Amino acid sequence: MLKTTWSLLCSLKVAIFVASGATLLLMGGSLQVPSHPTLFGHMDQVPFGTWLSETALPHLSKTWWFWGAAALMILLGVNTLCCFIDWLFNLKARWKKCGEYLLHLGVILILGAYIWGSISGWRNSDTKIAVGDQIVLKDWPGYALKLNSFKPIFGTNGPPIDMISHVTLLRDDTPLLEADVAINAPLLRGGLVVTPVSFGKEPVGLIFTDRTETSQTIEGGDTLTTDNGSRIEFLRFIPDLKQHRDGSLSYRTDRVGTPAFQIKITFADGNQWQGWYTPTTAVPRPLQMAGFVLRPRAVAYQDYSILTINYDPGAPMAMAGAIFMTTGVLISLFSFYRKRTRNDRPSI
Amino acid sequence: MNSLLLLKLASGCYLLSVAGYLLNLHFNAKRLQQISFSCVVSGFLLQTICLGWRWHIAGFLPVTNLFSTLFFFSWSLAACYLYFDIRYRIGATGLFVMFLNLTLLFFALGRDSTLPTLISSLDTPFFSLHIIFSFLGYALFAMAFSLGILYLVQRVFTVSQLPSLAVLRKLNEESIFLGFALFTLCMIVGAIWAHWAWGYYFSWNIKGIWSFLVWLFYAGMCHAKFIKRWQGTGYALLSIIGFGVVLFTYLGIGLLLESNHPLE
Repeated sequence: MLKTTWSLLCSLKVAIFVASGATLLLMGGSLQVPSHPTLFGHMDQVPFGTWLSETALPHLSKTWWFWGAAALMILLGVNTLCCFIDWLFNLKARWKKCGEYLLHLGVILILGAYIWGSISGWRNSDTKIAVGDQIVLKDWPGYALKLNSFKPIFGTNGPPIDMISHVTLLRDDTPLLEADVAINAPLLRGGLVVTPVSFGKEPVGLIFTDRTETSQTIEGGDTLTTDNGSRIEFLRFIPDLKQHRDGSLSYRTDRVGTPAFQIKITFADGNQWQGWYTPTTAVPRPLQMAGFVLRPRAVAYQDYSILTINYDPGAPMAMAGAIFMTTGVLISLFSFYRKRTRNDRPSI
Repeated sequence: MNSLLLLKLASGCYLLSVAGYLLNLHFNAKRLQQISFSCVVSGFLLQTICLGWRWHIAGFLPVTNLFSTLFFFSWSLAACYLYFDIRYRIGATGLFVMFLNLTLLFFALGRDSTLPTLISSLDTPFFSLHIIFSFLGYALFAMAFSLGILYLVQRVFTVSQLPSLAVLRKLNEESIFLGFALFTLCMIVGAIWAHWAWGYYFSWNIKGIWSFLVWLFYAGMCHAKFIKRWQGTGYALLSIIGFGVVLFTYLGIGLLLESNHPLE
């Protein structure tokens, strides 16, 4: 009984049957992919396991073939593993097939790694970080990524040809690794991979000048103490504030339109005032009373980088699988003609 | 003289070789077969010079649009055919293979041959390796397709100029194995590159799925050759079906559907 089961698990015919089933399911099913972009269009932005449970499961009528193909691929993986183990048990007699079986081992490792990464990995596509800022990797407690500097490289025709983000990976605020992230040059650590996506500039405040024409940049979060002892807190900066007819204010766009600061003034006598300061209109009376004499001159911009930050714990295992597969392919290629000359092949 | 002229001359050589192989079917003369083979060699050399020239001018392997992929596919197919013909002297099979090659060039010559600017993410040795392994794999699958058809022709009509069924079967199996090996390397290089460039080694877009299907299909074929029922005719049929899958993956998806491997 045990021998029969083992033979079935190692069966070549079973492998072909299962592979054919998976092939047919994926062929038929994948033709649905372009016509359902809301279902399948963002599959690469989350781990496969998350997509299966969160997106595919509620839409079983359109994604059932994925479940079928996934089940068959797992069966194929089990079959491949059993074949490999069977080969190991008979290594003395079948060592000449080491190329082919290294390839099998590679497939097992990659399949296992993909399942592991699909379940335990996470993906943060399009993560925006401003220069000098640090973001906490929420799926990886204790870890953070800081963008130290950013430099776009432009080609002679104008469009950018590279975007170099100098980043530091930190664990519990201790720097672990410092590296440049550029196109085709990611930051790699274990299963973590950081790649560049895009970049840009965003308005973060205004450049002012004083009476002596000395410039000073004020951003949201800054504080200024005036000559008469008043304290002005620039709570936040809005690049384009919309003022409604009823006097209420709302955020409009990220582009510079009507820039505004939300400010809080604490006067020397302890009185406080909070409101909006839109430099394109008149300076509010309380701000004048606080002794604010700066004149707005220009918008202050800050560079930011958009990065993909993914973690796949199976990635190193998949890499090992790729190395085994490559080795297996090369051995198989170079031993193919010799084995064929000796008619060294089974016929079932 | 521009590179396109070289390609036209190469196409002319391939056309002459097809004519030579056709005449050889009727006259069965060794001299005709030798002339046809010389035409293939000449065409291949001209195409190689053209490829080298374009590579030198562009500064990268110019295989980024429909013209250049068809061109490279054709070059790979000619290289594979020469490998088989030099190794096994399979002369008459050249008629079908070279006809297929001409078809590829016919579609290529009608396209824009301007060298496009290389986008930054393709500026890596991974790209060149991925492309080379991919199209050599495709070419060997095309070779297997041709051999599969010729196997069926030989089985039904018994053409004296064609190799025996046993030889055709052996060559078909060899094409599939070599194609699978190279396509596996293409997939591995592509996966490592994708991990470095986009942060994941397998993309669930339709091109990714179908490339995996091509790999799975031919992996199955590498196993199916051990099953008696699938040897010979069955294997020839599978080779033909397999090439259909390859064509859909290469042209169908690139031209008809939206993917991360667009062909323009």
